Order: sequence, then structure tokens, then C-alpha cells
Amino acid sequence: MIGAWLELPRLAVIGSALVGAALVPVVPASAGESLKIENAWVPWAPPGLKVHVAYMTIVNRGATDRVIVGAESTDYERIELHRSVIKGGVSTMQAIDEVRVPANGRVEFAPTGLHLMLIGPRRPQAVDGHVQIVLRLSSGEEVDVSAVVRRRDDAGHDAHSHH
Amino acid sequence: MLKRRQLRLVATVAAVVAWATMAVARVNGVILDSPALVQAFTLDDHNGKPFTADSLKGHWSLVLAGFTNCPDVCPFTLANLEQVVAELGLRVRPDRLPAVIFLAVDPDRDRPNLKDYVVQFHPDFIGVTGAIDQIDRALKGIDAVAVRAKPDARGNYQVTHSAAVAVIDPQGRLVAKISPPFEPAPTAQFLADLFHQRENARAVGSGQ
Repeated sequence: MIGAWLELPRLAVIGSALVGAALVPVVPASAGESLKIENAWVPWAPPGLKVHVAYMTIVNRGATDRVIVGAESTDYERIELHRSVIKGGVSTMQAIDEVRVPANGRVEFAPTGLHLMLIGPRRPQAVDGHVQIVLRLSSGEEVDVSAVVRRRDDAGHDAHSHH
Repeated sequence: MLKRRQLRLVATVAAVVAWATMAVARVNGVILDSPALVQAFTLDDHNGKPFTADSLKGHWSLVLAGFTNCPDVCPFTLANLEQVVAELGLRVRPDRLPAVIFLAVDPDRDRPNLKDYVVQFHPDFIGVTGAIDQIDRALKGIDAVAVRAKPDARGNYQVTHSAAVAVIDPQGRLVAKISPPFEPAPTAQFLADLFHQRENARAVGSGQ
């Protein structure tokens, strides 16, 4: 036990050194540079379905909060920000106006939580293809997202990795 | 030597007990005090064949309510159920494996896509839908609810529905409900234990 306690401060020092190093090169010039998109994916859906979904992790490396107020894609008629809520045993989806990504923080768009609802596909999906999405921020800036189309079972490890 | 072997056995048992305790903690399962027979309803399956309360008899079933314009929670649940059934295959005989039935509560929008929507998760999954009054009867049978909200200006509308999965026994009775998250291994263990317990109870009962 004592050994384990002694290790902790050392790990913390290494940890903050790593975080510091990571922050140095990305002093943000614009929202587009401070927001980083990770693991953006769209679960493959059979042809005919008019509603798809996109998941991703949005990392804010900037010193100020960023607020996502909308999204669009040339591949879809429109995109809505949604949150699934399971409360009292009942599942419901709520459209939301904005998603705040805190300074030096991150927001997960993940199954059964926040997601982008992609409505009215304009062309068929293909596994391993990409959907180009533009996130609109309250500052007026835009963030480009390229989301890969994957089967859900291939993506399962991502969907569960946050537990 | 013997001592070391005993120690190892104790350690193994402790690990198994710890694992089992963890597994139990990760299942939101409720077993009903008394099973409730699912009352008669008449729907169609995704191939257009009749599907009634009697179709639930003769095998275990997992039934969930949803709709095909549900891109997030319903696919997540169906994908998890596919994994649950795969895990169950390691624990029970093939004839005890449950049918997975997706009760589509938004028939006008669900009918054209129901088969594609359901079989993407497993070719044996069954989508059922039909007239609203029959859907409501089936929902009541699995102790679930669904509410179709008023359409917006574009004609789009949301559907709110129970998140739980109903467990129906081979006599067509609701015996348990499981709620999210449907983590595959612990959920499969919960179901395997339930199946064994019910079939043992039946065997004892029929012997009297």
C-alpha cells in the first residue's frame, strides 16, 4: 500500500507534464483549431431508412467554452442535435438547441446519449464510406467532420469503451 | 504442495464469486412475483405473416418496443440483444435460446423498412407491427407503453416508448423485465439463471 501511495505523486507529475506538452502547440487561433474531433462514425443503416445518426468525441483544447448550435451535411436534408433520455423506464429523444464544449474539456456524442440525428439521406450509405458534416458554432465559425460509416458490431468496442 | 493447491482453489473461488457479484450488479433485471399471461393480439411479422400472442408460446422470447425512425436507443438495444443471445449460446441449449421480437409501434413509417431494420442485427430477429389498437394490446401484454407525439410543421414526430425488454416464457407469460444497459455477459447470465430456475420449477411442479 505504501508503495502505491508513493507512486501517485510521481504519476501526477508525469501526467501534468504530458498535458502541458500537449497544450503548448495548440494555442488556439480559431475555434476550428481548438476543437478536435475524434472517432466520428455513422452506424451503417439499411437503405430505405430515413433517419441515421452520427457519434463522435469533441475535444476543446482552447481556453474558452465553445458552443455547437447546429450541423449540416450535403449528404442529408438536415441534421438535428439530439439527446436520448431514458427516465422512469421510458426512452425519449429531445431536440436540443446547443451543446457546450467546456474549455479544456470534451463532450461525447455516444449511443443512448447525445447524438447528431441525420435526417433524409440524399445518397446511399456504404460501409467504409464517409459522411462530411459541418458543425456550426455560436461564434459563427465552422468545424469540418469526416465521419466513417461502420457496422455497429465493428464499432462496438468504441461504443462501450467509456464505461 | 497440498496447502498451495488449496490456496489456489480459495483464490479461484474468491475470484469467481467477485466476478459473479460484479456481473449481477450490472444487470437491471426484475423478476415478476407472478407471471402474467400475454393477452390475445393479432399483428403481422416483417414477412407479412400473422403474429399473435400464441406465436410467443413454445420458446422463450425477448420483446422490446421501438420504431424504425429511432436511430439511437433502439439500434443500440437491438445490437446489445444480438450480443446477449450470442453469450446465451455459451450457457444454454440451442432450444432454450430466446426469439428476439421488435414490436414496432409506429406502423405507417415502420412497415416499409421493418424487415431491413430488424435483420441487420440478426437474421432471426423478428419485427412485428399492425393496427394501432393491436399494437396497444401487445404493449399492454409486455407491460410497456408508447406515445406518438403530435407532428411538427414538417410532419415529423417523435415516439416515446418503454426502454425495457420483456422476457416471455414458453407458456406465453411475462416473467421478467430487463432495463438498460444491456451488458451482454451479465444479461445473458441473468437470463440463463432465470431459464434454469423456471424449467426446474416446472419439472418439480409436473411431478406432483
